[in-house]
Amino acid sequence: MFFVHAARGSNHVVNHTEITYNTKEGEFPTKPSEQPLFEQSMIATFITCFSAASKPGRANTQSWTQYLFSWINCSSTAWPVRAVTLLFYGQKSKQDSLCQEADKCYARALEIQRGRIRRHIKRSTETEDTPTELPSEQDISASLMLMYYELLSPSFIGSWMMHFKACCQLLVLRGPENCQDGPCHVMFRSLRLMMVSFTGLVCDDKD
Amino acid sequence: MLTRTASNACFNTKDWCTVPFARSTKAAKDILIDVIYDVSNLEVTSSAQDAETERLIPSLEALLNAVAYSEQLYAEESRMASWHCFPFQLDYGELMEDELWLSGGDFCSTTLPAAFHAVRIMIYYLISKRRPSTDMMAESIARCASLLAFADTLFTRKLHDQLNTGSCVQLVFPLEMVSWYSPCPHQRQKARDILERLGWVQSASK
Repeated sequence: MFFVHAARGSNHVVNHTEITYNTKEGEFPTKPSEQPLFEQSMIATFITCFSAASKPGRANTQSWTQYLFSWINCSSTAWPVRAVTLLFYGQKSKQDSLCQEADKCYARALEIQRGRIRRHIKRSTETEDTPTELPSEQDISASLMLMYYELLSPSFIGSWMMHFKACCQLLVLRGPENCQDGPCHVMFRSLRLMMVSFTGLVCDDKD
Repeated sequence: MLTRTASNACFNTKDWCTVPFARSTKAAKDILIDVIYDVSNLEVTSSAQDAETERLIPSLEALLNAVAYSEQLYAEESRMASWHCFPFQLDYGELMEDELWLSGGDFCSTTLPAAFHAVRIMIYYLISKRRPSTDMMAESIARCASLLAFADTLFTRKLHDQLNTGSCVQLVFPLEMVSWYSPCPHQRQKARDILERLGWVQSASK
């Protein structure tokens, strides 16, 4: 016996027309970025709403959201970050056109990520003589972003689980010794918590 | 034997429990997650026989001590306040900021006070089943009531429409624990009702 999420994210995320934030005014991260202002605004909205109370003007140092600004500047993670932050902003502000644009970004991000994961699967099944290339921080973060996209706008019930499993498997391929610091460490701690929350847990030792 | 899923979780190994933390200190949250994995690794059977009781009770009590240590660490983290910590008591709902319910969707900082209650409720259940204790049951009911009131406030404040999926899940875990392990049937039903209101439906099987 366990519970599954049956509601589509977009149905219950927002019920009002104005963008509202969970935290007090002025608590957006202030790290300078060369990204266009609208992208910074979307990332800031996402960070503010998803990351537990950072100090005023700072991203939470315990959260992987602090890396979003660097991920959007990286060609390999820009599409997933753009897709998620755009979708969330679109949902919050009830702008369907933004959500549709986010869908396009997601499709592109998905295509790129599939190619990457395919490469890792191929390498992991090749002979031992082949030099191993560990999944990079970008590989893992892209899957993480795609997972959030499916959490916010599920293609079907539980669709986010595919990306969740991909994230975890990429971390497993990377190995615990390569998750001791930096973004991979933070993402690992986050996914470990998700694993506990989502795997149902413990006993059927019930009446 | 019982069915478990967490024991098969890919991070539920000794290496993943220790190596990633070799260069850092585990926070209260990490220690609490260790406890949850440890509970899932206990070889619990439906049997309440003496041998089973003798084997399990010390392990469960050790895990309760680990929860207490995690709570103590969390209190220290809150005092240091290098990042945001939620208040320990969930019973003063009217004084809390909306953020307590709405944030944390990044799964980096769960609403830990709720998780402490949830894990204790789970362990109390496992102990009480083998060594019935009125005190433990009373405490479990009180903690369940606290969690239900906490979840209820989400609706009385009309925050549920603003809840993002990530934050929602952080409420789901404690509520699931209440729906499974509360000694009181009406608390179990209330937890299920709230889960349904949050859009989570009960599946027939794992």
